[in-house]
Amino acid sequence: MQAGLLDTWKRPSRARGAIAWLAAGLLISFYLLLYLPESTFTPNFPDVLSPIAAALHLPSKWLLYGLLYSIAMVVGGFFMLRRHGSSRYHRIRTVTVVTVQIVLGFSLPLALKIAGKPELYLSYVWPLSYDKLFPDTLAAMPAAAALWFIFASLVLFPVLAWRYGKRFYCSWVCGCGGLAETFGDGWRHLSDKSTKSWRIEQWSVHGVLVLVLLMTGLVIADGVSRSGVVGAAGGAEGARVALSAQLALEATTLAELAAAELAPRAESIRREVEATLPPTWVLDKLAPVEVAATAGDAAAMASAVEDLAYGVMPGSPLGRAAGTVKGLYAFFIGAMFSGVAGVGLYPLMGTRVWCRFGCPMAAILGLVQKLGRFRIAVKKDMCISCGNCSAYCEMGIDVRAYAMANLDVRRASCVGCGMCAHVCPRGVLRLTNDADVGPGQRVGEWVVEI
Amino acid sequence: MHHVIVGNSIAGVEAALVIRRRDETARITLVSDESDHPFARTAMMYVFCGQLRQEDTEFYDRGLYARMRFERVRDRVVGVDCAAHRVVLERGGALPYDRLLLAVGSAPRRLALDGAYDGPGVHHYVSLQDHAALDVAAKAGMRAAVVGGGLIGVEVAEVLHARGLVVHWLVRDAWTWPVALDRDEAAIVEAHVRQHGVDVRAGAEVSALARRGALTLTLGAGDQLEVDLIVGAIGVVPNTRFLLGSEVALSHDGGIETAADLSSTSAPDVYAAGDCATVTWSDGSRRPETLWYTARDQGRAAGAAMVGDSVIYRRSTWYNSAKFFDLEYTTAGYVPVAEPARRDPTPGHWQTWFQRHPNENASLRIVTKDDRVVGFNALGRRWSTEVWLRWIHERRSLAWVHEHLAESTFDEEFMAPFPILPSAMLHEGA
Repeated sequence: MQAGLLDTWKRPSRARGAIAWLAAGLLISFYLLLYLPESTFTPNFPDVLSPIAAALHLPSKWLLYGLLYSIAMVVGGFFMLRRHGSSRYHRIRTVTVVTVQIVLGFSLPLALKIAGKPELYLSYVWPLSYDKLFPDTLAAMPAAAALWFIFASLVLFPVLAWRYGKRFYCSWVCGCGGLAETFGDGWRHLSDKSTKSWRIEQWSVHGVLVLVLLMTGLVIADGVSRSGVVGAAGGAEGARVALSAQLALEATTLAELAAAELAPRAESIRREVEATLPPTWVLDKLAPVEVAATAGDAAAMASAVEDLAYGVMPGSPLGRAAGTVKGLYAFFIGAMFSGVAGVGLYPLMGTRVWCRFGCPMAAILGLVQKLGRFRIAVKKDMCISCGNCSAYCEMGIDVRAYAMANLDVRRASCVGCGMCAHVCPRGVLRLTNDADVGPGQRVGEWVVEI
Repeated sequence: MHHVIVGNSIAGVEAALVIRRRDETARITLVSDESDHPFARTAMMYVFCGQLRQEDTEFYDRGLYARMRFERVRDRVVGVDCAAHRVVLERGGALPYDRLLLAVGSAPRRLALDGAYDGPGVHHYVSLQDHAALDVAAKAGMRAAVVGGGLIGVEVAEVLHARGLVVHWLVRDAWTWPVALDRDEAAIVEAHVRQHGVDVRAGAEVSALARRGALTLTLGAGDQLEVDLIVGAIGVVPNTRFLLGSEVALSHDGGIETAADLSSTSAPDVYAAGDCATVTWSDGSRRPETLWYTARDQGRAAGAAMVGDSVIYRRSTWYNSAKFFDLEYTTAGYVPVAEPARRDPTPGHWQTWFQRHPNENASLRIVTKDDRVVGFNALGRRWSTEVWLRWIHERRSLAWVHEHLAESTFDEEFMAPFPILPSAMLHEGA
């Protein structure tokens, strides 16, 4: 028996009782307050978190969110270790994932923001952070950071997943996983274990992956065409394409200017834009640039110029499609699914709703994991079918079915949290990256005389 | 062909699955008075303390019967009429069979104390009904005596203690679980259980029970122990009383005598599997194997035999595992113990190497015969019984096993290897 798991199903907070519903309601409300003011679908939703962030002298509401997130992980990590700290694996893993959050998920972005640089979350790479391969996003960050995101997304993380399983990310680095493993640990048993939910999971998680691939493809194609590499447009169109690219680049350099240099820059931008005889709705976008310049706020001006760059761009079907897909993805997947549902449903559906049903990163690394070395080795003919492994699997994997069948568990969805092995009362399961030596002999094959 | 399977636990349901795989059209009826769905009896303790729900212990989904077209009869079989090929049901009626599998499991061994069952307060912990009764009776603050130094005993002590009862664990023998542990190992277990707050009393045979409001037990030396609740956990016996007087022959210990294919030695078309079947062990002795995974294997073998396969059920070299509170136990091979049936080792030069981990609650015992490793007993750490059995089969020496020991570890990652210290004891005898 695991001391920390006693009474799991007898406590209303952990067994979908009234307290759990209340907690879910609070979490969902918080995430709606966080995301809705940002959304193009609900532009007038009141932003109550930014003033709170300002009152706490935090540069943005995202850093307030990062602070709350880090606190939730530290406190949750403490309780997690009270439950499962007898295991060295869980001690090392929990300390690591909380440290990554505090350093890369909060402190570094805060320091960058205070230094007037763009906030960078280095542990979130494409496709979880879906804009990290978008040309404009990459162009707006320091070259070293851009290289990191390209390298980590396309090379490093897949290779690590092949060698160590996707757990290296999902249970050791990722903030979404980190919150699930700490703050959410007491709800891990609520994941649905049915075959039906496994089928839904396969469709939905790979569906989101297809969406993110489609979106990334569109945005990159759009960026490439705007940069003029593909089919440079002539005449007035060509001038606006060139100006759009120039403005996008200019936006990235504003942070380095002194406050006094901003106003003259805004003036020259107005001249350049007016020279292309744009429609009035583009001219309207000049006002925020000038307001920010007058206020001496380089960051606000950068974002206004970026917005202007998109406005100046002549509308192409590709650009419109990319914009539409991006908007829909950001709202429905990025905000509603990963945030509102992903964390909001912890107390009702377990901790990995997003990781399991939605995360495109988990989908890609999972496919790599299937081909790689990581697996949960099963000790042959020793399972007593008790069901603890399946019950405490946050990804809804029926681990017991594998253990009873003497089959090593190789599932794309497994995040390698290690809880199945930890709660097994007969030591039947073992997470391993060792090369598989192939099926061993069954224990019951023969008898030796002694 | 109508296959009737009495008992829907692991042996019965595995047999039914094998039969269905081989015969799409056979009629398969599972009879149980215990539960609608097969569940892991091994996990009742987790349900008791709220770590699992009852449905979590069901090792196949609830659609299994419908999908496999198993018929379910919720009734108790009270007799078998072998000549007429039918079983008699408690609530009336009879069920005809072409092939009958008796997978009826164990019943608790009853306490041999006068008046033990004359009133409330004395429980067992084998069936779902036992579980339900104890679940209702056990209340925080009560005093409980768990009688029996084996696995069910320690598990019941654990869940009662978790519920907040004051628990006395009464062990008849000089130390706990002498069928598997030697004195050094039992000392580790007992210290661990005491540390959790359970009163462990070894050498405490219960000689009398009196009902004076509470229940008063008289222990070996005459000590009196007053409790509110008693759980008898002194082992199990084959659940075969209903077969007395039938044609199905039973062995001296009550198990159903079976041939190598698990068919009854005396009644045609009757088979037995699981805890109720007397089978041949790897050491040649004949007795039931009360183990979960062998019940599964026996069920599969019996199912195959029932559809006409040529089957020989033979137990492999011994291995097992258990858990005492947080302390895991693993064994493989031949580790001579105090149990009479296996007390005398075969002639040869026996040596035992034993080491406690210097700073963990863990130990390892390796037994050699004529300089060849033949058995392992471990507490605390996790080990691969597959690898150990392979080494035994490969006739490895103690020095070789020490050198390769890390290859058999099954601990969670980041655990340091179990150290081999020069100070470890190697003594003569098993």
